[in-house]
Amino acid sequence: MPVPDSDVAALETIALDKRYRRVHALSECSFSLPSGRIAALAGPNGAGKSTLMDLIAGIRRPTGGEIRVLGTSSRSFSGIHPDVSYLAQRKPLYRSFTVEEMLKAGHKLNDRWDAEYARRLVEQAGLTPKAKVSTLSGGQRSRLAIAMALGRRPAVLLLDEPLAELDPFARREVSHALLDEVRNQGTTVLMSSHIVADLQGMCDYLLCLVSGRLVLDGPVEELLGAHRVRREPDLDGAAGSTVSPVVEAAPASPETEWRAPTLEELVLSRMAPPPHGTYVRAVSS
Amino acid sequence: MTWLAFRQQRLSLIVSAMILGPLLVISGLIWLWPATVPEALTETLAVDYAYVSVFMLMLPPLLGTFTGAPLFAREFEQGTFVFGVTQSVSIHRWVWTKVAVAAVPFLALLAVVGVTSAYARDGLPVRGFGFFSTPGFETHGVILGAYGFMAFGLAAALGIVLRNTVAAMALTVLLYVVIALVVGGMRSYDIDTRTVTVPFTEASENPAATAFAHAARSTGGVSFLDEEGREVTGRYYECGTACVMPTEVSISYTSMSSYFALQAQEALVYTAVGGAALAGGVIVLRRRLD
Repeated sequence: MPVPDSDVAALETIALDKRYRRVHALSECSFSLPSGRIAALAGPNGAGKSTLMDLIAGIRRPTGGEIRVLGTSSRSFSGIHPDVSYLAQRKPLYRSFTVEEMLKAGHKLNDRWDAEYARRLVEQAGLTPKAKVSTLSGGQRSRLAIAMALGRRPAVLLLDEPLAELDPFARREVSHALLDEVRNQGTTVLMSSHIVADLQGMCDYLLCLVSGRLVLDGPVEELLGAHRVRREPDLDGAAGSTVSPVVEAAPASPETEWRAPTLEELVLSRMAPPPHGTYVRAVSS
Repeated sequence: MTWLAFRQQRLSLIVSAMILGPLLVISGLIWLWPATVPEALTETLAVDYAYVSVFMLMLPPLLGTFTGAPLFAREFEQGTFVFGVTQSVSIHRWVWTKVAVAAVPFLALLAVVGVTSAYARDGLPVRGFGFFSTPGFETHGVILGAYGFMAFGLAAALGIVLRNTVAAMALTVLLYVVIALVVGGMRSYDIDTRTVTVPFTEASENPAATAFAHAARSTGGVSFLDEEGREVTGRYYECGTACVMPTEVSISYTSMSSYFALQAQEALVYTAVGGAALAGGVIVLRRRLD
């Protein structure tokens, strides 16, 4: 894995645009993700998360704009950028292969493949080399798929709904294993999910897409600090209940009835279609 | 990439080899070393040649469809397409390596079986199927490989378009039958057939017997005529004196040079159809990624 230059963004998009015939899937999407960050890519279904992932992974071509990985334009490569690895939501693994054969496939298909590292990740996951992929549990398949993605020694790891279809125990196990590894390796991660609760506590950077447009972009702490949830009476006027309208940018002089939102509240507030807005339920006092 | 493609196609390659291997060995032995083949086997093959021919007629569409349809459709069904195209290999290398590894071995074997079986037929006391008639024409010569390629190309392309293995298989079989019937139907217009009528006395003594022996292997038409010129139907040689014995033999024949030319011509048509289908499938795949 190349050593990232701290001055160069690990992943940068400039006015990225994608159209599917008449549908605008992604519009003028620009962001700059610093190296070593674990970024959440949030947004409702159909917001353009998978399209953005596909474009960065080189599976689809952008209609306009540019993608840069460690300062190198993705246009220089016909497929995926060599410093990017992609783990799709369905955990693409050949069912008839054994774990060992999957690792061999990774080795055969990649110019840069760390066989020792991939094997260590598989061993840490407790996977038997001779076990068939079809016999693995959901959590085990996820661990193998992560090993396959990290075996390329990427500078940027793209994870599309990595915890989807996993039970709560497997979610915790997989997310811990994944985060430990990418933090140790200094890998930059872009992780998509429409379940914001999955992202809370895992990510230190947030990108939020709504209807193909980037509506939030920045470090999580900064974004949360810049917003407040306002407590107000229930829409029905019931006493004691606290239903707050959309999270708003923090006012210059904070008032007592304002508090910092959670990541989930912040993201949900941006998913609301105008003009009604999304009402975020705040904690009752 | 070659290793991955081979590993994915391992089962279908083994099945193809298990089906085509014995055919190749038997037809090769009958052609090259007929003395080594037990007489009982030769006799059985000759008697049951109709079954052998029908089996060989079905081989190209079956092997082509079962090899071609899952080649890409299964990648879409199982989501492994994304894995294949997000590694260091280009999409074109991924596609064409899979095609080459899946298609070349079984198509080459199919074509070789077609050629050896054409020569082996000379060593069998087979009557009834002319070289130009169905299924004689379709089951011998290099055209067997061309049929296989057409089925494979259609199946692989439909697998890309439909992203469903079963649907791709069903549609491939349908298209294959239609194309084979249309092209096969045009064959009779291309054949320069000549007919001679000679007296029939004793098959073993009459010169017609020689012509008959040749014609039975090289043309689609041999008629036995009675005194009034009407066609005598049935297997006259099994009737004995109870049957109306033919007085003349009308033989339609075509030279073997026409046969090879026609084989090459039709093989080109089927190869072109298979190639065009594959190219179309790759274009669809590229557009889908744009």
